[in-house]
Amino acid sequence: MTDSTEALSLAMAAEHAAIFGYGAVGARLTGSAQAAARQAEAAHRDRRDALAARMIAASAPPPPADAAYQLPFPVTDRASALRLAVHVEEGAARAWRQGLPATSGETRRFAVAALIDCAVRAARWRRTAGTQPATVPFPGAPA
Amino acid sequence: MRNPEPSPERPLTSRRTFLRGAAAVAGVSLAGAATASALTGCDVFSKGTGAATEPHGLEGLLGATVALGDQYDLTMSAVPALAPAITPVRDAHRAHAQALADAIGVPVPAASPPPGQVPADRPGALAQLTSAEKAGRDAAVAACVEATPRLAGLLGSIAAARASHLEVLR
Repeated sequence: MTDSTEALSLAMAAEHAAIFGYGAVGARLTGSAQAAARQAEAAHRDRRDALAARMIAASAPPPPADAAYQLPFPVTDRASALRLAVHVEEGAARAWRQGLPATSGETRRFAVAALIDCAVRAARWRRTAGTQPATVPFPGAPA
Repeated sequence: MRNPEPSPERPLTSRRTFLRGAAAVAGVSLAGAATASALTGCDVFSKGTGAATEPHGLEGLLGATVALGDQYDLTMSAVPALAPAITPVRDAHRAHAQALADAIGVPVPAASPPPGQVPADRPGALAQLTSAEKAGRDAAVAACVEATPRLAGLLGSIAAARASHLEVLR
């Protein structure tokens, strides 16, 4: 497996996990926040599909989703749902950032666009949750 | 040399139970990201490994980053009510400048030329910052796409931070 394939496989796994995570997020939100969660989930599905198409075109089989995922903490109300949304986006941002050194050209452009989208959504969720500051200096940097 | 960004070599395993599937071996855990970085030799902030000699062409981006931070300072002077909201963003630009300077092996420069006029009204000031952040985001994306593997992660994070700043300016 090339470095690029390895990196994109990790990003793929993070997108699968994000889609799963938003299922739990959306179930505990209402109104505009729930609509935002649905939009975010759709964005991750689109990104996953676009990444799968890229990997297949490069003869690299995209890894499938796991059968089950373990949430990092119980999601029982609006506050914990918003916390999970931030957590999901931060995790996906890290996965995309780690793919940057291993990729180049259009594939790196694709990866940095994904990193940007994750960082923007994380900031929106922090705002929704009332977290200050809503931004972090180095989105996707290893914690 | 102080670097505000965590080193990519640091293990990611702590706290990260989520995104680890029931079959952790499938690699969903972002702990795997550290492995990937190791595999790709992405020791972004190893010091003294030719940072100063590697061609990068990032001095322009570094200068513009310093200017972005200065623009926030000027805006806070012109519209003090914005200070609580935009101080963390100003600090992020300062941190970016320091990390960039460290990564390319130069000191953080003084802003030159000094930024121009800042509108004294809130909407005008926010609009000017918004347009500066968008331009800065696009410049960082372009630099990231062209960068060596060693600098790609830092530049990607800077681009993502600038995009996220737009959420604060809305």
